[in-house]
Amino acid sequence: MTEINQNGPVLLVEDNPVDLDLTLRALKSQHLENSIITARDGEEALAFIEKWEKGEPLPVVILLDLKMPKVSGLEVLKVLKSHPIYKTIPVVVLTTSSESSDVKMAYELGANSYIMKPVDFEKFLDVAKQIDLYWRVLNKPAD
Amino acid sequence: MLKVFLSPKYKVEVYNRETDLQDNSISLVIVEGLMLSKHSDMLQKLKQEQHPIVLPVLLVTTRKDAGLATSYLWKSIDEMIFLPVQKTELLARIEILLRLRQQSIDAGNLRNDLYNLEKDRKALQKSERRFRIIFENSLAVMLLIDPETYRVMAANKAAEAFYGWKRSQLEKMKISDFNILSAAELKAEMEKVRTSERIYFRFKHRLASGDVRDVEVYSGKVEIDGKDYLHSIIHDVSEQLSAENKLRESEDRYRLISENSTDWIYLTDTEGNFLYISPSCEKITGFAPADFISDPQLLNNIIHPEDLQTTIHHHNNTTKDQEPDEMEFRIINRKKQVSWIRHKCKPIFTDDGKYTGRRGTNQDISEEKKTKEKLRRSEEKFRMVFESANVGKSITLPSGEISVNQAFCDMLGYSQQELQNKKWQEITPAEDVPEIEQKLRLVLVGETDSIRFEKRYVHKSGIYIWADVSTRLMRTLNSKPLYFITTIVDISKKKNAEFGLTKNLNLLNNLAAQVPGVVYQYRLYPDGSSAFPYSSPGMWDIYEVTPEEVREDASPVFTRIHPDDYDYIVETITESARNQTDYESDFRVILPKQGLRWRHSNARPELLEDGSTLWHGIITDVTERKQAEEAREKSEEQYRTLFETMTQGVVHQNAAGEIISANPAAEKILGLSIDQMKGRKSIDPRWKAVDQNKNTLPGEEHPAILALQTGKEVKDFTQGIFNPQKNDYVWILVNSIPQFHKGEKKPYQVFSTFLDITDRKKAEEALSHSHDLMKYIIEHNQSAVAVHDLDLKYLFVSQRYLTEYKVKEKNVIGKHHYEVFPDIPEKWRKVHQKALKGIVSRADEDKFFRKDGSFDWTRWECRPWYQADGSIGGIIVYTEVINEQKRKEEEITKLNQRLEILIESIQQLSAAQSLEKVKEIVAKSARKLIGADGATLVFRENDHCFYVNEDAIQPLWKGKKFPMHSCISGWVMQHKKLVVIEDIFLDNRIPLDVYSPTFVKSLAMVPINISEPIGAIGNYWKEKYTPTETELQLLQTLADATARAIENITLYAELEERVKRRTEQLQAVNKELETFTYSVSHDLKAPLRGIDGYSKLLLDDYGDSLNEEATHFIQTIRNSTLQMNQLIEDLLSYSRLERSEMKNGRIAVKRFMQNLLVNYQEQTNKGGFNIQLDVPDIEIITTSIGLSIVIRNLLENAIKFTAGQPNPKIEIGLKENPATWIISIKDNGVGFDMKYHERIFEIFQRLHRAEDFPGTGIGLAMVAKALQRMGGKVWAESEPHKGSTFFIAIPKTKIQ
Repeated sequence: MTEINQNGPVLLVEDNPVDLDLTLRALKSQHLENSIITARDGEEALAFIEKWEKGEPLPVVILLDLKMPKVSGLEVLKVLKSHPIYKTIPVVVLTTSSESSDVKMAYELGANSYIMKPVDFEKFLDVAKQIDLYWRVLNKPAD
Repeated sequence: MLKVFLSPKYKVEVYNRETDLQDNSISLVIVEGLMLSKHSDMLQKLKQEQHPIVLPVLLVTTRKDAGLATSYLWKSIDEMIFLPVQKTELLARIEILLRLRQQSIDAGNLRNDLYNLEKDRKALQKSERRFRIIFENSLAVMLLIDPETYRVMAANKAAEAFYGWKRSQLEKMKISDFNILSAAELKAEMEKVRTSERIYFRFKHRLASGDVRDVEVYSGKVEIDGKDYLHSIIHDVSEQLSAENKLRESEDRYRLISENSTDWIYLTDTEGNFLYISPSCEKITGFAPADFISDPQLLNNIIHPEDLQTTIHHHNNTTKDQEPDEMEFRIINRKKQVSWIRHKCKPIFTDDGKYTGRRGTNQDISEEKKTKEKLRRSEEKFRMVFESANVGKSITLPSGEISVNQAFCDMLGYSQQELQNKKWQEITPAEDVPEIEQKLRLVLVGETDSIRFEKRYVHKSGIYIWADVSTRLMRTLNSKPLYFITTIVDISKKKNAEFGLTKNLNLLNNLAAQVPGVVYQYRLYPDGSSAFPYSSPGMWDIYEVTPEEVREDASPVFTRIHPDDYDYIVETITESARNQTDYESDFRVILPKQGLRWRHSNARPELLEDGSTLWHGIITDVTERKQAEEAREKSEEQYRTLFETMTQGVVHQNAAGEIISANPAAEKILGLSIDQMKGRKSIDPRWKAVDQNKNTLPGEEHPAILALQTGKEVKDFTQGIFNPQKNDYVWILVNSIPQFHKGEKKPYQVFSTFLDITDRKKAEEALSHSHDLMKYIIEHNQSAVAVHDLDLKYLFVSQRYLTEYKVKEKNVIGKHHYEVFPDIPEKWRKVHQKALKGIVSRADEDKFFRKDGSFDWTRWECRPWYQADGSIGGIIVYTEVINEQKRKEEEITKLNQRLEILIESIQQLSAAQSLEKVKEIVAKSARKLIGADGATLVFRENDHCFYVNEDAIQPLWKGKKFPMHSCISGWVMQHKKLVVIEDIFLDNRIPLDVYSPTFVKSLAMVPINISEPIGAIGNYWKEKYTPTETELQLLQTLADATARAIENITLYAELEERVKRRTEQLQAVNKELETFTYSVSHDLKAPLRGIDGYSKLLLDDYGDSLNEEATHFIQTIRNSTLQMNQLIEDLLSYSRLERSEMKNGRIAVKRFMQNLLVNYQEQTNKGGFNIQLDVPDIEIITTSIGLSIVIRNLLENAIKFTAGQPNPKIEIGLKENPATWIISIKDNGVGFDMKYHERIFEIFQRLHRAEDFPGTGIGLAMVAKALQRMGGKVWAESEPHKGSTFFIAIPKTKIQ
């Protein structure tokens, strides 16, 4: 049983239904313990912030597609990462091309990592491990 | 036991008390262990005293016993050996000890030797030192000589002084340097010394001064510092020797004299003892010199007792001052004979007056005495005879005094007394005296002792008495004439008979005496003999024989005849005799005293009864005449030769001027033969004579005629004469000399010599002509030329020179240069002097100052000119006034400067990118260009003139605007042409209110852009000035350039604007494209993901329940999506490439390639690829991204298309071309047909099927596009199945 350290959900922000479905399948194929919640666009994604404020459990990682209508992925990222509390949530950006300038932008805005679409589980795990580390550090008591 | 061991080799003695261990014959002591302590004292003593020789002590003991010995005992032994011991060991040990002993002995000896040596050496040193001191300080001349090389090793002070060389010099010399004897002499001397008992050498040494001294050299051997030297003491005996020699010489001489003198010479000392007696004493006295010396009384003993007193008296009388007279005494010699001695002596003193003895001479006068006695007696006898003779006798003294006998007196009728006082001359007829005297002279001179002749005496009565006289001269013993004894016999009677004959003879003689030469009778007898029965005394002069000699026989005369003439004489005599014709001949005689003389003989023959011929004749001395004749003949001969052969012509003319003779040279020169010339006169017109100037020469003025008329020589007269042979004139230089007979005033003849100077004349003419020509040429030379001689006097000068230098004098030729130019500066004098020395001076530009201070620019050269013999004859000065040139030059220079300024300005203008810049440039340039006092730049602004900028000495109107109609710039712009105003106050276009506050007096203005003036440029002057054409042109050019510049700037600005806008446009378009591409790719990719994803799921989740075909379908679907994905990616890349920024940077190529290759490592390794990287380790400048894309694509292709090859190989290389880098990637893959070369670089073009080789066909398109953007290009070379090589060319750029 694979699991990420905390039992928080994985927030998947993806507008394309095909991509969404494929990604879910990819994650579930390995029986990921963590629950997966989705947002269909940037607006919905940002709506979650309210939910968390209301006490909903924080996601352990956010998988964020960049190309989205209404509010773009980059905007969401910006908001998230400038939020005093929720900026600690690791964000993994989903890209169509590794050379995309968006990826660079994403990093500049504070993205923790990226995965190229189509997402497969292996990639996800790799990233997760990376995040794990990050997360651990954050969990350390303040020096 | 030991003994047994030792005995055979060594002598062993057992010690007992009595044995003396000091005995030197003991060489080793062996002690037996237990004995040691017993004899320790003894041994110790021994040890202590062992010096210097060691006596080794060997202890033989058991180990046990050894332990018993105390330490001090060890001092007494040298060696120890333990029992039991082997023989060999024992012997060996002993051997060692003995050797030790021996060494100590040797050492001892050595020490002794050294000690002694040291002692000796010290002694030697001491003695050497002593010697050296002596050597140094000795007053005797000493030298130390190396006996082998004979080099002087040392010389002392005395030697220095003696030889005159410094010691340092002497010590460099060899003996041979001053010993001047030859090798042979040296050897002889050495030998002499060796054989005789003499211990010194007699040498001759030469001093530094050159003097040679006789020296005695004492030489001995001496040893110094172990080497042998010759120590020589040199003793100068020159004086001694010369004195000795002199003494010896004088002694010898003296001895010679004395010994050969018949006189007996002696020397006595003060006591009267004989120091020396000559050997003659023996002859005289019969006693030897030794007898006299040994017995001082001997002399007195042999003196005749009667004379002894006188002798003693004589000697006593000699005081030191008095010289006694001669005296005579007799001696009785050994043979008891009496000899008469004449004695003379004198005392001898030294230089300082000390009486040292006496010198005496004794002469044996016995004979003399005897003779005198005899004479006395004979005289007595004679007297008796004399007196009693009945013939006259007289004794006549040579002076003439006579003493006569009675007979003589009777004969002459005188008494004895009367006759006694007369001389014979007084009693001889006066006219006879000379003859008699002559005869007597003969006797006197010794020609004969007696003479007999007949003479007259004058009787007292006056009549003449003939007498036969024979007289004999009596002489003294030493042949001095004493007196004549004459016997006179009266032969008057006989004489009278003979008188006639005698008279005749006398007459004849008298006559003969008048005749110079000899009057003679010559008789030739039939038998061939001949004689001169009579000859006058002149015979002596003629033949140096006396008449008497030849009276009977003529041969003495014939012996005198010159051998060459002898036969001739004989012949002529014979002929004369035969034909009885007169005899005449000239012949030579050789006389003892006179030598060679000429004689002329004239005689008339007479035939006598006996057949002999008697000639009466005269012979005279004709030597002078003959010699004169010969000389004359010779000189005539010489003269004739000269006359014939000389090159000068010689002509003789008589007093009338007719030619009487001419020599061959004259014939040649004049072209006439002597026959043609003879008789011709000088005035003969055929000569066609001319003078030097080619004017006709009248005959009277011919040199010969002149000489005849004036009687004076005419010298060096030049005339021309027509030579008919040459048919031309010849020029001759004539000397005419008149010839006079003795005493005459008018010449009887003139002789002329002349020289053909035609050639010379011609040369002179040519020279004169060429001189004239040169003068002409120089005079008309276009430049100023002057030719001077060595004194700087003018020889030639050109007209130009005279005018250029404004020379007033008409004739400068011959005048001195400084005379004509008295104020000429020193510099020129120096130049002239230099030229006279042979140095050429020149100047291309030189100022020549005139008196008024103005100057001309000149170009000049001053050089020497040379004579035919190469020496400098004078100088030439070329000058040219180059003011005009200079002016032009200056103008050109000025113009050039201005042009430069103009060019610079134009360049600046063309580079100006803003109007501001233009304004800045123009104003400054405009002023600088002309050099005006101010310049302005005016722009048109609608209908105003805007003075935008200025550059002036004082402010003008910068920044001001004026309406166009009111200002001159406006006028210029309106009228589209330039303006020049010389005086602003006189031109009404000028707004005086604007101008008068300014400095401007003159101005010039040009429009900018003549066709459509947009402005103007003005130049201003503070003084009245008219700018030149050129200046205006320059200004206009500047204005035109300004117009262009402004145009350009405007254009440029416009362009800039356009470019900016365009760029903005493009950027906008680019941006759009970017967005577009991005969206497209993103949106295109999304559905692909779906297809790919779900098809995968299908396979993964339901693959089992799918059959093969279904699987295949799904697989194909998947493949297609992959492909599509790739296409989209490629497109994206391609478009990105188009838009991306290509920045250049430095790339280390090799590293770059290596890094790239790493990416493909897996593939290449797996495929077994051989990758060759042939790239130098250099840097190239290009875009890294671009190069990366290019190389990656090419590599991928190379790898792709070589897959399947057995030995896949890829070669990457880099080559440098002048302008590009060429990178090549070569593979040995599938290759392609070159006809598709162009297509392969198009986008999505492929030459292979997808299933054979994957790929979308974008690779090479990317490569091409990338290179296009990089400024390079790509091409390939290939052959199907033979692999491909792809080349890319990257331009060499600099980093921006």
